[in-house]
Amino acid sequence: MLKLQNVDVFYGKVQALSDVCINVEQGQIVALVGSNGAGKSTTLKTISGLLKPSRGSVEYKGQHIAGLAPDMIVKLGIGHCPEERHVWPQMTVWENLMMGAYSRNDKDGIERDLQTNYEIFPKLLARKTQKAGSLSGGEQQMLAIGRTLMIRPDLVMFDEPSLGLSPLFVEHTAQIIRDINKNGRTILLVEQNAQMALKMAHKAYVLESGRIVLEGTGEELLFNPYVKKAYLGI
Amino acid sequence: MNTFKRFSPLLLILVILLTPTVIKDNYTFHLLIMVAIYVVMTQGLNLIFGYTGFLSFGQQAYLAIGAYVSAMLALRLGLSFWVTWPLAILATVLVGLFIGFVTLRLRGAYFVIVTIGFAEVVRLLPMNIDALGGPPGLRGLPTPNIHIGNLININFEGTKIPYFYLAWAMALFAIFIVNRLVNSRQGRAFLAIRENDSLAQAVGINIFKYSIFSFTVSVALAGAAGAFFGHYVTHISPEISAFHWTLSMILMVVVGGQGTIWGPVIGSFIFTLLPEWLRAAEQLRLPIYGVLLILAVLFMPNGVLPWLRKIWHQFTEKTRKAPPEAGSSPTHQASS
Amino acid sequence: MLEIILQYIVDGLMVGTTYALVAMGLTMIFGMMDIINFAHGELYMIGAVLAYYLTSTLKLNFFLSLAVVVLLTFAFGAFLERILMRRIRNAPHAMTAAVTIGLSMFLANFVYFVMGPVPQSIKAPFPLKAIFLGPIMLTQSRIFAAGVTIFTIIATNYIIKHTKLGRAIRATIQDHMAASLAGVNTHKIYSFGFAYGTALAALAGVLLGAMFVVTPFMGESMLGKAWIVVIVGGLGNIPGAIFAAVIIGVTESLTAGLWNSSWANMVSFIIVIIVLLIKPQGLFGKATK
Ligand SMILES: Nc1ncnc2c1ncn2[C@@H]1O[C@H](COP(=O)(O)OP(=O)(O)OP(=O)(O)O)[C@@H](O)[C@H]1O
Ligand SMILES: [Mg+2]
Repeated sequence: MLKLQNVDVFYGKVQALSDVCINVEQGQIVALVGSNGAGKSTTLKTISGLLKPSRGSVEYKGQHIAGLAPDMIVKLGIGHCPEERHVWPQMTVWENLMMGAYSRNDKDGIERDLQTNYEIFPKLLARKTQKAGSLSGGEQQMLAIGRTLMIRPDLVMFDEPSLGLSPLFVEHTAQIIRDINKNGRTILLVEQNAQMALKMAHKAYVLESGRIVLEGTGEELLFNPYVKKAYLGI
Repeated sequence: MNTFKRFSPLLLILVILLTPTVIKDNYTFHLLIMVAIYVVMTQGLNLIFGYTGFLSFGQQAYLAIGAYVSAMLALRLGLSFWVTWPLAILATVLVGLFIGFVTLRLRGAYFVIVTIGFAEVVRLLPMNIDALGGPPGLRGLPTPNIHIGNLININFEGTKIPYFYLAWAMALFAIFIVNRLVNSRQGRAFLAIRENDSLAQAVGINIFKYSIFSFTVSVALAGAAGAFFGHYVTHISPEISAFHWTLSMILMVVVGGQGTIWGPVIGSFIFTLLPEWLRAAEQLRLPIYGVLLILAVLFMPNGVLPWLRKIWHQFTEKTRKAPPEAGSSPTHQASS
Repeated sequence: MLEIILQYIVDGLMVGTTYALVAMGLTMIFGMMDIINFAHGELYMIGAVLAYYLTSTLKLNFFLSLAVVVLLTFAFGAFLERILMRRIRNAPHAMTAAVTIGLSMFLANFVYFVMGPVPQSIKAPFPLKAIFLGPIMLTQSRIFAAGVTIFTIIATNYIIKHTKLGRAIRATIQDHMAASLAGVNTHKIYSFGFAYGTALAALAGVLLGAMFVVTPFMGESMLGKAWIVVIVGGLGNIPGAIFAAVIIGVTESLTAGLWNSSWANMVSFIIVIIVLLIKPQGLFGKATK
């Protein structure tokens, strides 16, 4: 479904990704783990068009998308739920969710997805008219996820959805991501919380200093001695 | 190169000293004097704008304050230029300190509008206050003649050469001070403020203090130039508080190269001499300047200076390589 | 005496609301692109000059001219955004200031070159006969200007608050990366914002130009007023800008009427200083961005 081949990305003169190859199959949950500054967010930003690779190709459903503008990529069905939530603080919860449906025109479908979101996140319904900036961190994370789902994406990319959440909330978020996947969406999950990510992943990649150093099924990596030592702290 | 750098100020002084042996006509001297006055003003603007990053676009106010304070002291109290000049600079410093205290806590748009608004108020004062001469301004400002007993007797009337030397002494002094400042601890603080306010704060730079300092020096230079200008043309009017003075300074600083010492100097030359060459297109001069300013920012964001440097480098490289040793291998590639 | 003062206040109200149009565009452009637009006064001037040529040279009807000016300047704004503003968006203020100052110099002096130094007036079909509301005198041109202004402000507010486009604009202002990820073509939004701000300023130019005179340099003093309005009202705050515009208009009118018109700017400036000393974020501004 999504295929990155030999991707290089630079910030000015600083190379952030080198020769990255990632393959995401339809219906899977694919995890991308790595420590701070490894290049995880950079990878997602490259897929969603916020950054342009200087080399390599990004292929989505057989179409080359590297270099396309982010709004075009959204229209192709890729949703990117960015790191640190990035909700619009001065807009209401409802407005934030509706912005997710910005490039859609199916009124009924939008309304249905809105209701589905309210079912998954009852808190959002209760705070519908409240400014997003006044929500708690966890609630903002739900809003960010909800907004991305409003795109009705086939591929959803989450960038550290568990960051700054209490353990209880982390489990809850993990469950939600599994549910989203069960509903037929493919997922690319970036996490520092390797434990959580690897447990649910069908396939996983380990990124270090902009390079893929390991790949395998979630289970394989979970029991890989190197991963255990470096990322799971066992 | 190093020896060149060390001796370039001396070279410059020599060039200035020898200029009167080459140039004879008064009009050229007048232009060169104006260049020097602009050098002082643009060094000031460059310090606050180019080095510290504040859009101080009301500089004409300090020009006017310097000019009017000096003129009033000279005309009403009969003081010599050599007394009124420092007092005028002092006055601009005091006003600058006050305005700095009010505005420099605020950033960006607020600072711009308050400095421009203040300049607007300053512009209204001489126009509407009769004691300041009203719209016609003040006439008959004394020239900076120097009489010390019978020993030294420098007369500024008739010839422009003493003005030329004095103006360029002032200009060199301005360059010297700004150069010293930006290469000191303060200078690094200025740059830090320009590059990133919050970061500068985080590394413990007292932004407010340094900003005030930079602003005060900047307006002092404007005041010095304004007062000098008044005693040079011996007549000032509210026109000296018009925005076009600052506009010229912005052009000179940006096109010449903001945040560099010599950029504004080159800019001062360009925009004092260019009108002479653009005579034919006089009507379109200002629209052309507008386009020039835009193009300069977009395509030479560091001004013409780096570009000139590059040409100079290519030139010196070439001349250095020019006399090839006989029989030297043609495949030889010099790396710089 | 009271009647005269009342008259000044009403005059100030009518002129002041049009300042809000200019100020709204200015604060919108600043909020969206972080550009301090020194050429905004010239966009206002261009509206007036275009209306002058349309009504006098092309003999177009005033109301039709107004519509044509709004459309033309909207397109002109989009064009400027495309060739210039896009390159300096989010650049350091020193850079954006220099570019917009260059643009302002170019526009004002080029129009001066074309139009010459003689102040012109826009032929408006309003009878000079005044309407009396008790002791207060109103002219039709002022009533029309105030009416159009209020309508435009309400319409703008509606667009921003209650439409999909308005949501996209606010989203782009608050977090442009998130807006991109939601499928917003932010380039288009910036283009629209700059074009809209240009058209608002030009509209004010037509309305005020029809009351006073048209000169190539009329933008300079308007820019100052618009900034004062923006700062008193709070940067990026549209309702604040409207209140501040009215306050500044009335203050000016009272100062000019009771004292001397050349001190009007001074009084406005003193208001700015007082506001900044007491409430640096503007009378209606909140502490947050
Ligand atoms: N805007 C930028 N400009 C320059 N360098 C950047 C920029 N953003 C990221 N980098 C650099 O690129 C590298 C990869 O950053 P990235 O944000 O992708 O890391 P990450 O794996 O997401 O880390 P984290 O877990 O901390 O979010 C880092 O070295 C970072 O310093
Ligand atoms: Mg990251």
